[in-house]
Amino acid sequence: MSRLLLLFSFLFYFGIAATAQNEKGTLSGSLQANANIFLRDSAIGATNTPQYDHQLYGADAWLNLNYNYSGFDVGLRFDLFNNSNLLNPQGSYTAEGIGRWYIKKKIDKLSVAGGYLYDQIGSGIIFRAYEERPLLIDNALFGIRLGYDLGENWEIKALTGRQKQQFDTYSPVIKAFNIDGFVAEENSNWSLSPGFGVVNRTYDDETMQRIVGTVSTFSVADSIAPSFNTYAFTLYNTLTVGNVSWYAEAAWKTEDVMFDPFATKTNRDGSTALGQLVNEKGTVYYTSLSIAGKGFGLTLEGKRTENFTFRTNPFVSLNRGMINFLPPMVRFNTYRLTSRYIPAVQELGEQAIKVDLKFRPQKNIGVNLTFSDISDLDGQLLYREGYSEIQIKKPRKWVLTGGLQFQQYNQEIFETKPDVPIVETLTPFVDFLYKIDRKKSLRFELQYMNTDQDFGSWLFGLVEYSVAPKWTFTLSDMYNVDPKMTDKIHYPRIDLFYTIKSNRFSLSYVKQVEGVVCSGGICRLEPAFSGFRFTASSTF
Amino acid sequence: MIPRNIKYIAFLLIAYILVACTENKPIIPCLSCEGNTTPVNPSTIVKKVLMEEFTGVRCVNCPQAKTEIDNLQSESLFGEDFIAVAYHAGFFSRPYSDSKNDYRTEQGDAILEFLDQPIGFPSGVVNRKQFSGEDDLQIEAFATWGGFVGQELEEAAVMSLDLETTYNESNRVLNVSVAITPTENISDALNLSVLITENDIVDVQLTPDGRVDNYAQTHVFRAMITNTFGNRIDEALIANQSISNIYSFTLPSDWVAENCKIVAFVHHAEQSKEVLQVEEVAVIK
Repeated sequence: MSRLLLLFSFLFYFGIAATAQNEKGTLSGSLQANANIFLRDSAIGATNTPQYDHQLYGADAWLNLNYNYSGFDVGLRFDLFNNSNLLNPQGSYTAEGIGRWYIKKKIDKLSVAGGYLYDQIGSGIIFRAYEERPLLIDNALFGIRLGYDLGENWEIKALTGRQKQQFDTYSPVIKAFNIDGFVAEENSNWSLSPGFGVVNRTYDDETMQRIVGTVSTFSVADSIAPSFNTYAFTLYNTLTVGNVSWYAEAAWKTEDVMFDPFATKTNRDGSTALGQLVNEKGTVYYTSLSIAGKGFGLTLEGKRTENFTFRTNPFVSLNRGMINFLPPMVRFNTYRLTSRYIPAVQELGEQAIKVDLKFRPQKNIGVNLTFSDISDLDGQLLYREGYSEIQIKKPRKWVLTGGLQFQQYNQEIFETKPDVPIVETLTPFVDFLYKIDRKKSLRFELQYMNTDQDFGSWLFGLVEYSVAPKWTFTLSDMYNVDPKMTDKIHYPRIDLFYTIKSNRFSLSYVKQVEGVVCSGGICRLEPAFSGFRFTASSTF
Repeated sequence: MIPRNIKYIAFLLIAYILVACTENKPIIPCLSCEGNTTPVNPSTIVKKVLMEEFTGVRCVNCPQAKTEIDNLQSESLFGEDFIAVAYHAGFFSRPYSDSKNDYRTEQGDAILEFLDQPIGFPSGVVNRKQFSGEDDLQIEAFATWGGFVGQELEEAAVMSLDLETTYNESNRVLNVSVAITPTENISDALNLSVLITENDIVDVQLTPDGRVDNYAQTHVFRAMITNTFGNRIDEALIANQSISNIYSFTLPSDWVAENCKIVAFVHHAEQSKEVLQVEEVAVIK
């Protein structure tokens, strides 16, 4: 509360000062609010959470205010969670308060920022403080950032602070340094954008005592020697020559205590078990080559990861306490069935390639081809995807999109399900948008996922009617036509969207199938959803 | 153009890293080394530690968590000072069609909700305490449980619990006497929970190697003898003065009395849920 008063006092002071000097500051903001009404449906597994059992309602909201005056940027965000299932899909989280505040100022070549800061180094492999609201990831660094311009094209920055943990902070201290530059010669067609970064995490005494307490229970053969300090370094560069752009990044991490679910532990009775704290160095090598031409674009990506879990402490799991972000090497799919199986990034070890090709054989025809292949460091297949899409446009009349996706998804690894085969899917899809007149349009989607594994084959259909710019009405259904684990069940969904100026509202009735996500030996159920969902978003 | 002062920045960075590399590493006590034993609490009464594990027959990683509990309970480590209860509750506890029993209980489900739903399974709660840096009471990383247990074992005990059981084999009636003896005056609102666990129940379990039909479940929570969240201790807790409570319970016919144990623990009943002391005794000694 004291922080809230301080910030409002600050805003008030600037408001008065601005009025007195007849200068205008800028106040802007945004709101995002979600409300869920939970309707128990044991047939799809929408049950046995506090929301379905007795709370019946949950909400999340973020109200963001930013004030800009005389080179100062001041921001404040109020966060609210009432019986929310975002933090833990099987639990209920209720808390509210100031989720973020910051003050920024540029003083000549020096930039200063304090508060809850979002930032990253390079592609985020060694450090990324970011927010992902649907998963309630909010890894802001609560600290100070100093930046300094070294000439026209070079900038250094340094950060120090602790990572946000809901309305608190984790105890270990994180420090980071980064230098970014740009080199080009006049009238040449090439340029370089090199950078270097280093991140240091220092354990607090209590965290270290807990690690020591854990390690002291290990057998002599398994014992490790943890350090208070872990360092991660990265060196990266983008070389641009004409239409070709090549990004390369190499990152290293000194010894770090992490949980390895596949490490063998020796027990007191001499038996062995899987799952152990290890103290290992890590590396990530990542590269991306893009070639762009007229009606043509090609992107090649490659990545190799080894022991690059980098968290505030070794006791957190899943999406908690992550200091860095490892870029996924898969296509970001948006259709319901093509996005059903998404491979989680394997922090402890994976090697991956991705190829993405876009071209236009004719003016109104676009083609997109993508191929991804991910395996572990021993070559065992984790995920493979081939995706093809063609889009044909009749300007101001209709757009037809069709394609085919195939996937191989190692469910045994990603969901820790022993002895299950690799899920193989073949998913044709079609999307047809028909413009009735300048305002009204109809859109149809039809997708079919053919698979003999997991839940079996699925059919998905959608009809969407839009009256621009305000109304959109959507009706869809997902149906397991050839179920392997459950009865045949319909998962219908009805959405109503209303947009007026910068405000957007939606009201939905949703039945959504459940899934399991595993990481680091911990499996998290993403429960089925059954109920009504209301969202409101606004910028002002 | 590369700025000239960049070499000074590089120099400062390298100097910092070289200095930083000189940290003194912590000393790791080797509890398994010859001559070393588990740290002993200086008071004559040891504060024992309760681990409430949430598990399920479909939870593939839960057998590894059980192995870790067995490991921590070994005599060369925490031994009898570490007491475990395994609740079959949550999504992964649904029985298979060929499971012999359903180990879920309404009380276990209620305790799971009372102690916060974990973000994943397996998960454990140590002394119903929220440790610094943790989001809630649940600790999912089972490989780190030993550190939390060791931390709690170093706390001073504020009371002792003495359990006595009498069991009538003919009518299967069990009587449990719980005597609480504080080492200091305690005015906090406290509850006493008493429950029954059963060991060596052989049934189907999912493991990292696949389904195992003859898996031996241990520490399986069977039932609360007190109320689900404990009975309020109404008597004054005065230093070195014992208070006693006696409970009766009839064991269902399908429970093996020889494999059953009584676990009793005293815990805070208002703002905190923290366990102050725990004790375990076999139904049949």
